[in-house]
This record gives sequence, structure tokens and C-alpha cells, in this order.
Amino acid sequence: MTTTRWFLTFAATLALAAPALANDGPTPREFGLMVDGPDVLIRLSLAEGGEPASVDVIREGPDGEEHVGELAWSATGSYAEWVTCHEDGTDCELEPEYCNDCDGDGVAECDGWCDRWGAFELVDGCVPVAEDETASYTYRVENTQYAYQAEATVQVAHEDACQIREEYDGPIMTDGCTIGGEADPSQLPTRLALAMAAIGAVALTLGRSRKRA
Amino acid sequence: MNPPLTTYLPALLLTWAIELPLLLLILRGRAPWRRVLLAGALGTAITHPQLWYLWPRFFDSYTAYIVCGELAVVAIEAVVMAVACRRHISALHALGAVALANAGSYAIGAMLRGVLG
Repeated sequence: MTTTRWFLTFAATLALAAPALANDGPTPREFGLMVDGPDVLIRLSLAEGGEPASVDVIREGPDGEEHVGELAWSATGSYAEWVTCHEDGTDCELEPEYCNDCDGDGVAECDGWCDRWGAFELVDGCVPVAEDETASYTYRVENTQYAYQAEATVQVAHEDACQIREEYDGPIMTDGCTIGGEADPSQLPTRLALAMAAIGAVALTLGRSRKRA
Repeated sequence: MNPPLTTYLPALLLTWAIELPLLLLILRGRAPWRRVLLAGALGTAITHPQLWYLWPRFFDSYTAYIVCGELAVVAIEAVVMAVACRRHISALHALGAVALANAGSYAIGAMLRGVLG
């Protein structure tokens, strides 16, 4: 086969295969799917009165539930945290015992209960990706006053990161919750390719010098 | 959850399309091109499905998986190439050629993913 034919065959195959974003191995996202399996059930447990809350990340797999991590929801551990007043129409002058101090200034100005909101980051891998690059999460929120459950749709925003794209009218601010992968795709390929090329160059050089000797 | 064949087969095709010409180029004049082609195609046919479907089961970390996986691919393909062309090239030559070809396919694959994805 001539060089021109080879080049044409190579170029044609490359053009046909390129849209599949192929590589010499699965992408980080595909790897995450293979390793981590299907959907994750996220349980949020919120505490009142400024106490840090925690997030249990539980994966629902073929073998049942698996606890994959717990995240502290604190001022330093989350992207953002704030408290709002869930108004209940209570007259705080007549019934001050039913009012709460949501902003911590010592005045119980909230005529209902305090809702803690937050945008947080999950360090679990981006696992529950369907073909349309979305996935469903369940949030279960419990505190002393209510239990709350909601579904959230997650969209893949990056190779190995998910972004929750919908907001829900509940105690959890889901917008901005991201799930990041562990690998940095921008660094790994260059280093690995260079390492393999270096191994190749050294082996070829050694092979030549041995042949000469 | 394994990648579907519609994702896997184009990846295998692309790997062959990149690695085989590179192997022919690197080993030009040192080994018969038919043997190089056969050994290159066979080596990739052996390692590629393993890398995609078998080895991910042994790793939790993507970085560990891809680094160990690619290095193992190079080692296995080098053995195949060295055996197939043992009368023409040394084992070091085979290792060098295979490592350079795999570096090329990995780099181009990652570059395409970066550009198109």
C-alpha cells in the first residue's frame, strides 16, 4: 500500500471516528459510570439554630444502599450558607415563644421558623449520568419541625462535574450544587502522553546503541 | 455500567487509525510492514477491550486506572510486537515503537476530546 493510500485511509478513519471523542480508554465520566454505578441517594440532615448540618451520600446500587460519604455542611465547608425566615403569621409581641432569631442578632424577629439554605459541593464522583446527561437525585431533609423530600435533576456540566439545574421551593437551595470528579482532565493527558513518549524514545535509543555495540 | 459498543468501536477504530501508521513509520525499514501491521493490530485488539471493560473494575481512581492501564497496554503490546518481529527488531525497539505509538494515540484522543468535547 502506498504512503498516499495510507494517509487517505488514516485521515478517513480519523474523520469517521473523531465525533465519538474516542481515546485509548474510557473518559473520566465513562470510568465513573463503570466504577461507581447507578444513582446516588443524597440525604440531607439539617440542624437548627446554627448547628452544622451534615450530608450523607448514599448510593443505591444493585446490592442495596452503600454509604459513600458524609459531608459537613458548615460555613467553611459549603459554598454558601444562609438562613431565611419561613413566615408563619405569628404575632411575635403576643407569642414571642413561637418566634425565632434567624440572623443571630439576639432579636426573635421571625414569626415562623428559620430555614437554613445552602449551596454545597459534593466530592463524590459524577456517577448517575443517563444517556441524556441528566440524572435524578433524591433529597431528604429532616429537622425538628418537618421532613422534606424532593427530586432534583442533575445535568452534566463538565467532563466530570454535574450541575443541578433546577431550583426547588423548599428548604434546600439546590442550584449550584456540583459533583466534581477526582481527575483533572487538563493535566493528566499531557503528562501521561509525555511519559509514554519518553519511555519510547529511551527504549529506541537504547535499542540502537545496543545494535551498534 | 459498561460503555456501549457504539462508543467503544469508534474508539478502537481511532486507536488503530493512529497507532498503526505510527508503528509503520517508526519501524520503517527495520521490520516487514505486514508483520508490523499484524502485530500492531493484534496487540491493540488484545489490550483495548481489556482497558475499556476489564481494568476499570480493579481501580477506584481514574488517575491510577489510566496510568496503570496505559503502561500495561504498552508492556503487552511490546511483547506482541517483539514476538512477531523477533527476527528483525530487538525487544527494546519493539517497546520504544509501541510506547511512542500509544503516546500518539493517547495524546490525539485526549486532544480530540478537548477540542470537540
